[in-house]
Amino acid sequence: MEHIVEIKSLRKEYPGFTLNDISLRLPRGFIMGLIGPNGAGKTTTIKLILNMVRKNGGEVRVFGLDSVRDEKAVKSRIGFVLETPTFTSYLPAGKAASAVGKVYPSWDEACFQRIAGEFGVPLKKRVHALSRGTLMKLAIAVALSHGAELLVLDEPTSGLDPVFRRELLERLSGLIRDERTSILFSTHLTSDIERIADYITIICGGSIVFSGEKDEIRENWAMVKGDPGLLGSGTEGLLLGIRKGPYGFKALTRDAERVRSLWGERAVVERVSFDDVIYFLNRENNP
Amino acid sequence: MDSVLEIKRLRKEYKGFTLNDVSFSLPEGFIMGLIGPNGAGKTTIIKLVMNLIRRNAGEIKVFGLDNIRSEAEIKARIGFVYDNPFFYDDISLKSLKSAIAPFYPKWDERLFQKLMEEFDLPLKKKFKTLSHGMKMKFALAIAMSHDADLLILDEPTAGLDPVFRIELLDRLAALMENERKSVLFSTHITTDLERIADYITFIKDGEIVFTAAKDEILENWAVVKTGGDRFESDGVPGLRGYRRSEYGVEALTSDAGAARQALSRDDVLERASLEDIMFFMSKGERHG
Amino acid sequence: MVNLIRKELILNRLNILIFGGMIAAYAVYMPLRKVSSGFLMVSIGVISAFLPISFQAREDRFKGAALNCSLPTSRNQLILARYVTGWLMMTAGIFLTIAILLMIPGGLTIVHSLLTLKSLILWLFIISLVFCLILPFTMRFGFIGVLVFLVALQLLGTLMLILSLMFRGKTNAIRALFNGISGLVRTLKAGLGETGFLLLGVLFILIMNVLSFFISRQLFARKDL
Repeated sequence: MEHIVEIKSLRKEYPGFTLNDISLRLPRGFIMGLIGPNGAGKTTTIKLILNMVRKNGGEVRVFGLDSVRDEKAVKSRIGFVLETPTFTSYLPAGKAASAVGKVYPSWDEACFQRIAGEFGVPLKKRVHALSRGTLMKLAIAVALSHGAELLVLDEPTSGLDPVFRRELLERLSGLIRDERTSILFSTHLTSDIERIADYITIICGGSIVFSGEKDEIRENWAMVKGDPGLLGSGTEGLLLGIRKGPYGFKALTRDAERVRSLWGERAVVERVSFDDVIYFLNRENNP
Repeated sequence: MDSVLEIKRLRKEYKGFTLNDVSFSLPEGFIMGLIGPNGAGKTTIIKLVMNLIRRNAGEIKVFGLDNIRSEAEIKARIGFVYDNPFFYDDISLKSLKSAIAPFYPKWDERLFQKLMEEFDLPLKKKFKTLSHGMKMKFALAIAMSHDADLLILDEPTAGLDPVFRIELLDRLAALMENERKSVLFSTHITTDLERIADYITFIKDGEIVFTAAKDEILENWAVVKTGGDRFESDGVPGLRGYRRSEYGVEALTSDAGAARQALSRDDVLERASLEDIMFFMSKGERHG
Repeated sequence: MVNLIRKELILNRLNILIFGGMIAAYAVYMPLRKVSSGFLMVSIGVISAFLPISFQAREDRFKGAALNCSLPTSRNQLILARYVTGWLMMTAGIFLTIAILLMIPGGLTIVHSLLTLKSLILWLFIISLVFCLILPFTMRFGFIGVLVFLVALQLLGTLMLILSLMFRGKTNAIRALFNGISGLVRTLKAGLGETGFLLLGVLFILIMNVLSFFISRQLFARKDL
């Protein structure tokens, strides 16, 4: 299977924070969601893929090319949206977007106009007068208008109302049906992941906690609730982010089968939401 | 059961938008979530309750008192968090607290300090140095430190990561367990509401679409998935909106029981999430 | 009220220090330059009056009105507090000036000329004029409004200058206006006597403040935040 993005042992050091040993692979024609708590390293990872910051170690390959050596070739085929889209604030939206868009060899102005129209972006309005949600829509319209094979989006749904969010997600998932386009996006809103992601990468505290198919989490990970008396030496590593409350304990497990065989009826093992996954992984990381 | 908040036929007119004939109540001791698309009127309602804007008609009663006539008395018992915390940027958290705390007779300094510590907020720092999440936490710490009987939160979790959102929701739930507190909060993030709200009020284009107990809503609303050719808008009882896709038709109904009877073998009936409801009612083709 | 005043002082601490510093600097600088006490009163008066106006400007900038109006108090109380705090600041400015003048060489003479009833009332009149006029203006138009106002004033002054040059010698409406006002003042002074005139001055100051307060109150009560 061809991988559109391949990251091996990526490393980036900042004072006070290190992104360490990041490896992930996104096969062509699929969608990967990047999730994790604030400050975990999602945006840094994305910036490293786009070569906006310099890595300290490891390898990033996009379209089989090295993201640093073949930067220009790689970037011309990537459509990206950052958390705070940067357009020239005093220009009307349409002009500001075209200015950015024309940098791409395969920029399609007509396509951009069409998509911006569908999104309801007022192209004559100046960029500084646009609300955050509208600004995001503009950035996404640009990213979708130069035939990019890979879309890299940092928090694309932030600031968008749920209705437009769902529409956007549906549009994104429609894009990959041509089996040529792939999407990598980071988000806080785990419901986005539930809706369209095929693959998930969870980053916590600068390291990858999980990177694989969403179904794997669906099938094997679970929320465990039970009496604190059940906790003992056998549970080391099986239960993550254990939280003790007045009614018992709650924890995350990556191996629901084993918990069931261990405790059977004595513990409640149920489906876990992605919000809770992040919450408990974060707890495990920061006791 | 007493209502801690009672809104009757509230009306506010703006150029291009009107909040029209809005009525709902929040019973004491419960959490109500206000949902709706951007611009639907959620923030307008909250501002009207807090008397930040003037209403054109209608009545608002908080703790049984008129919200304008007994304004100061009511506000001493309300903790508020707005989606953009409005504090002075260049003042330290400690000074902000010193300016605000004396207004509340039931201010609990020890609780405030404890919350600041739990939220990991440095008292000496200036407000502008805080990240968005920390600003919200500070606003929350203040709102929760004077034994308020009603918490009013406008989009408290927007832009915040799941860890913070879950912590906030847990705190709210804990608050509810211990005492007769009530919470009104508006949000986009319907999964948060599904987690802790007891009542849900859905607003769209300045009007209430429904206000009901969450359990009731989730029981009675459903999404029917059926083939495009089989679909007839009269054939789905309680139809509220539907959408055609290449896979068929998805239809939202507010009468799951009746819809279930009307199903044919190839149709699927699924519980509607709050987001489904919002989506179909905003974007779906309307019925009737 | 105490809470409201305390809040104003805490939230605007830096401004108080800066303006205090400016007043102190003027108070030191002016006697050295042998400036007339009249000029001193006007300049320091204007600075003092702008201090509480800057509170209003800051509130605008940080959208503090939403916070203030959410606190357990009423809008009327908030406005009253702004006026009370304003006057506290402005009188403090007067005291500060006098205190500093007492400490510097040559200052004593100025203090003597300032500490007459007539001078004090004139000083308060100048301060009131600026404060009572600009505070409601800031409330309605924000701080930008004040700048616009000041610029407009400058333009008006320039315009008047041009007009007076153009109509030199002919029926000069502006000169007539000024003559009219000073004539009126003189007549009043002669009619009422020194004390009576001063009392009239105090009355005028009170009326200005009350009017300004009511206007501000109305403006603020209606404001949608």
